[in-house]
Amino acid sequence: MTAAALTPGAGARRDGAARARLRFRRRAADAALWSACAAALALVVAPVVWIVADVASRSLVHWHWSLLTRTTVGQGGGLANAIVGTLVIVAGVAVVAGTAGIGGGIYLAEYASERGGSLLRGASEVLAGVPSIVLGYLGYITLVVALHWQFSLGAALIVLSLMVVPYVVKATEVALRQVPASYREGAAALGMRSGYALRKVVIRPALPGIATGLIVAMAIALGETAPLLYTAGWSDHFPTLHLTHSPLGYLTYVTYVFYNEPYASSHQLSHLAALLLIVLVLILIVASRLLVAATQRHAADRT
Amino acid sequence: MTHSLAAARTDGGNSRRAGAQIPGSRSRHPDLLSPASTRAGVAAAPPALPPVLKTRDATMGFGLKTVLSSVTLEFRRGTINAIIGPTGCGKSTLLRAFNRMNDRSPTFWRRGSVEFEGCDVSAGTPDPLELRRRVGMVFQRPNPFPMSIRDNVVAGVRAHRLAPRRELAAVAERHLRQVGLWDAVADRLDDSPFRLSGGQQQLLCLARALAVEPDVLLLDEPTSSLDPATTEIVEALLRTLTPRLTLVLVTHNLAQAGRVAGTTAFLYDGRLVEAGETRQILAAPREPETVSYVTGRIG
Ligand SMILES: Nc1ncnc2c1ncn2[C@@H]1O[C@H](COP(=O)(O)OP(=O)(O)OP(=O)(O)O)[C@@H](O)[C@H]1O
Ligand SMILES: [Mg+2]
Repeated sequence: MTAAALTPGAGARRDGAARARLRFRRRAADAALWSACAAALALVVAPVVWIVADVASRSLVHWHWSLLTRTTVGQGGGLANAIVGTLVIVAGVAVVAGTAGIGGGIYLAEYASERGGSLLRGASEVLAGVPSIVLGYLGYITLVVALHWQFSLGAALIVLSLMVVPYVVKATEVALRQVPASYREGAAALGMRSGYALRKVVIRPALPGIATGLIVAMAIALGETAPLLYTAGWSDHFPTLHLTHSPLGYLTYVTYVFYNEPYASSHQLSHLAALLLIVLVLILIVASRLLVAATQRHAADRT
Repeated sequence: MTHSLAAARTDGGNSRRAGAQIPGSRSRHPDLLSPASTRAGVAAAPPALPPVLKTRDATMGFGLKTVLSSVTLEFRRGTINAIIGPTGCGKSTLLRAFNRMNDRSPTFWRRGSVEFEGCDVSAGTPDPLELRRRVGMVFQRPNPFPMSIRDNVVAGVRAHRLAPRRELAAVAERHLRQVGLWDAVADRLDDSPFRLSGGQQQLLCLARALAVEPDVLLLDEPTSSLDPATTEIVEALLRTLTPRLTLVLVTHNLAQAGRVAGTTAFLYDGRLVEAGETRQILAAPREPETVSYVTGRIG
């Protein structure tokens, strides 16, 4: 007991001062935390805004609709062939890597033995770690040269799919493992076959995760350059959809190669291709969000 | 006494239960035929239906752990039977032996027999899927599937192709009415089940289990996550299911056993200590462990 405690006025004053100091310190801590968060956010957002603005301003000054409808002619012309080529490649990767990756993920989550599982998981992780240019080069010497496929859609799809399939496998396995065990139990207790339970009950809550993995894979395929230079080559014409002997154009080629050409027209195409790549990635992201929203309709809020 | 629906044999085989004769078991268990037990009951017994579920000397466990030792027990058609006992004594394991849910665990093993309608559940007739259709199960925590309310009810019906597509809506309605959920969900059959209350979700799971027209329903603490009022609704519903169905109910709630179950089996530390009419088990238990448990001293 001090004098301050005995004289209420003085105590209250001192308490008030202490409380004010405490309040100030809390506010300061709050402010520091908030500004740190804001800085971190700015660190992420600013470059994105800057890149988009820069690419958009450089490419849109020379914008003309014909850039989207004409094929490339030498260093000029339009990007129609490259746009279609990129879409074909991304769709092909979605089919090939999607099928293999979702199948692999289901196998790992539902059926794999301890040993088989760790083998496949390890292989998948190694594959994910191989630099894309190495995969591209391997595809070149095996598919393009040794098998005489030449630059072709088939070679490009195989190499790109190999590259992104680990992401789909991982996403599928993780998504399936996160499905509450009570769904599997309930399905089994009703006498559902395990494959049937997987298709009708278990996979549903895993779909957003699987779709997100697939879309990440598509976005990576969309932005790859090195493996495609080795396998898809380049063509001024629309893709033929033949799997072999069918070089085709794609946007990353334009962005990378045309930028190194000493012509204003090729620079324009390069910038526009970059903008289109960004737009396509954005579309993929939005699509994944919509898909998640749609499949979450009957999702449990507790998981 | 003999019409009691569960029969027990404790470890030493010193069955006190006259109703414990098991057809075809005489040579294996001569102790059940001791003069005392034969005289005690048979004369007064109505012709006993063969039990729907039966275990004989069932010993089972996971890996190195033995969970149940030598449990001999039977449940007669159209009755409600409770299984009680302290936590971890093996109630769920026993329950899950009847529909082979334990087999989902790779380390599970079993000796002795566990029978459904006279056939060992592992014999393959009916196959495990059909067995689980006919021996349904409701879990402690409501586990509706992530699909619409209507699809939930008919999920099993679809899996077993029990009704053509155009009849599914009627099947769903019939079983939602059966569990008393129809009025609450009639206008939101296409909605998610996760917006229902916990009790409604459990009723939905009951409807789902009933929709495949099972003969037996295994209920593992079906009301332990529900409030008293909802518990009462579920109990009333369970009573309406007999005699068409045979119910086996694991419960920690002795009062619940008293309210709904004709017979009660008391498990303690993996052994079947005592089984018989619920009234007798709760009011006049014979074994010291049962006495301690029902008076609240163990468990
Ligand atoms: N899949 C399993 N693997 C290994 N051990 C298990 C498994 N399932 C149950 N057990 C063990 O078996 C014993 C009995 O479990 P069980 O779930 O049957 O008890 P219970 O009587 O239902 O308990 P509670 O009242 O808490 O539900 C426990 O010791 C438990 O650890
Ligand atoms: Mg239990």
